[in-house]
Amino acid sequence: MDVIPGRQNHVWVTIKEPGVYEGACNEFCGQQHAWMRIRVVAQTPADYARWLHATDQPAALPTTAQAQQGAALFAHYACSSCHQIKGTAAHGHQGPELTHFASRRTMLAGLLPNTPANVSRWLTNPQAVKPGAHMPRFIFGQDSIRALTAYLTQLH
Amino acid sequence: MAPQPVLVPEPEQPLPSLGLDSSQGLLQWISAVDHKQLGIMYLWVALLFLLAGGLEILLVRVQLFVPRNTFLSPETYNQLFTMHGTTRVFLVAMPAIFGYATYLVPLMIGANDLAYPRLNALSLWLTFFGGCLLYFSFLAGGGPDAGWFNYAPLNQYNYSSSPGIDYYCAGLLLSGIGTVTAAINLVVTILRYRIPGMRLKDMPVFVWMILLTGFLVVAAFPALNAALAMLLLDRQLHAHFFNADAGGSAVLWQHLFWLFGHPEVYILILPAFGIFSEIFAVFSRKPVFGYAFIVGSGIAIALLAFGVWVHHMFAVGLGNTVNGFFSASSMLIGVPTGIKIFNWLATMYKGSLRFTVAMRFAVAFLVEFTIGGLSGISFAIVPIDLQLTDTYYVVAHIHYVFIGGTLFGLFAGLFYWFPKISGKLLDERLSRWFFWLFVLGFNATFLVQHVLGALGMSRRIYTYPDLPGWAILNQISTLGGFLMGAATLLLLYIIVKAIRRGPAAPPDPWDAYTLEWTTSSPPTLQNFDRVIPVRSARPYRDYKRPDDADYLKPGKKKGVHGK
Repeated sequence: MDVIPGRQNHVWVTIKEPGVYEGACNEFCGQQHAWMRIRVVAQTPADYARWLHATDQPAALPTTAQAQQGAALFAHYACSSCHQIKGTAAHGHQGPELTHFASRRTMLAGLLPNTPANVSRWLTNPQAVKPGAHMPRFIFGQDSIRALTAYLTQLH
Repeated sequence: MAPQPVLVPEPEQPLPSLGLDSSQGLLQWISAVDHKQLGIMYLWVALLFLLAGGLEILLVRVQLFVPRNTFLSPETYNQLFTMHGTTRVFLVAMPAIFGYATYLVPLMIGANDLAYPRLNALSLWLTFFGGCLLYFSFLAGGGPDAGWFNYAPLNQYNYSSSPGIDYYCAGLLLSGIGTVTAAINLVVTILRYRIPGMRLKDMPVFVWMILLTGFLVVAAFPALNAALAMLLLDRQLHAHFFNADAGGSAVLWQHLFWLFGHPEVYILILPAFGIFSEIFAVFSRKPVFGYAFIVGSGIAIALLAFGVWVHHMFAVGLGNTVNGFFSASSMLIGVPTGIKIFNWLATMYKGSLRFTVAMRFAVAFLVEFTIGGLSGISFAIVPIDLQLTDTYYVVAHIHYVFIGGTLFGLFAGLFYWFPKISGKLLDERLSRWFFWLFVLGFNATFLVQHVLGALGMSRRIYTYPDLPGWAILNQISTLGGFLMGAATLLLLYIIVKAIRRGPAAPPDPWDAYTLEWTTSSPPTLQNFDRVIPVRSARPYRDYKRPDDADYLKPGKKKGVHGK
């Protein structure tokens, strides 16, 4: 179904087996149309209730020193003006919500598996990973990137 | 009523030959108002853009050869597929169709020229310079990158700020105006300049189809031209026609575009139907079976063409009532098309078939177009459409009808009329090679795309994840594309070779039925010294076999007695 500004539309999917179902954006939407993939995770009602409860929780507090440094950097740089992390001061709505970022299997709408190495690559130069993305290129030092990666990858 | 004499400015020297090396130089082409010269130039324009659009899509196919390829940047990729689609529709198919129509319609109806020769020249140059303007965008900061359909809101300035889409609007407006003037010219010519004695029901089917196409163009193109002007206002003067934030509507663009876009499909296919009707008849040694049904179903298609556009928009969510109506009307349009297929089969039935290259393309068309028609019907069913819309299944479908229908028609017409247009014969053996290479490459490219679409591969993606089966199917498709590219180069060689040193063609190489074959090859400036009497749809055959003429047996079934 098309998503068009100023219009309401609906789609209904009945999934009979729990599992992971692949999907993708079909209507040409610009430069990164190819990497606007969709993943539907179908669960039993009990699993779903557990997931829903976990999702409602605020973000995990950083425990290691490096992750704590990353949390400080996240607040210090402009990250919070676009991203939201529940339980912190970050309340932006332009970019993806990151409260439970580490619980996702892929990142950047299905482009890459969600691994610390890929998160570091992305933070180093977003345009090299996904040309046309709106994430600006911050000139982070290697230490900052390691700290931010440590923080983001423990947000289960 | 005597035919109105048409004032044709007489050049002092005879018509230049087909090659550009003619002694009169380029000036006689640039200043031409003769319908034959303009028709030939239309065909050269189409060939030029055929090569450009082919090059673009081969780059796209290289990018898709392996998953996660980085051969092209997404920016470049989007510009290339946008320009490929735009070029194919507006700068290859349309100029080629108008090339044949401009060249052949006066000859087929016994006229000296089109009704408005100077307007004819204006139409050609508007089309050509519109195309040039569109391509100039590559030098001006980037080609259009929102697809040939150019949907809102992606076509708005804040989503596509390079000047490509402005050039898209300006270029297509220019060529669109040229198309409308050309269509008016053809309609007036067909209705007013037929040789006395030729009733509407004596017109060749090709002329009928051009008449219908002319009406379709006049009715459909204004919707596109208006939409383009509105979009240009949106982008340049901050109007809000398609901007939902400011009270406009993004869906309005889709309505306007497909209100033009679906009749456009029939604008592209009806002339091909006309070409095939001539070819099936001549190479089966029979009159076309059910002339009235072929023409009548053409009229039905032309009328229904304006009532099906929402089948491009089922996913917009316009409601079940709207979707149901347009689903039914879309299935309805399959009926007159099916009638035509059976008419052509019946034309061949018990005919004395000659498999020239033109006839081979006609038979291949029957197979490929039927495949494209069947996949088309599957889109008329809303739930299937929702599953398959904007996947490679659609890409396969449109190429089966555009290539298997329109382009095969244009190729068949080329092999059929080239001797008349150039006065030279094409190399038959090499032409058969071209036929087989092209048909094989075409099926290799697009048959597998049905599967890719069913597997869920979206259209217009610059790369894809390494899912099972996707890489191998895309590789087959790319190799098929290169086979078609090689075949096209062979065609170019065949044409150039024939023009340079091909054997001279007789006036009537195929023992054909219609008036264009009664004059010399190529025709003189005035087309005819005198025109033979027209008393049926096969005047030249009546003339050649007066004892067995069609008009002597009006009540009998021509399909049986007309051999």
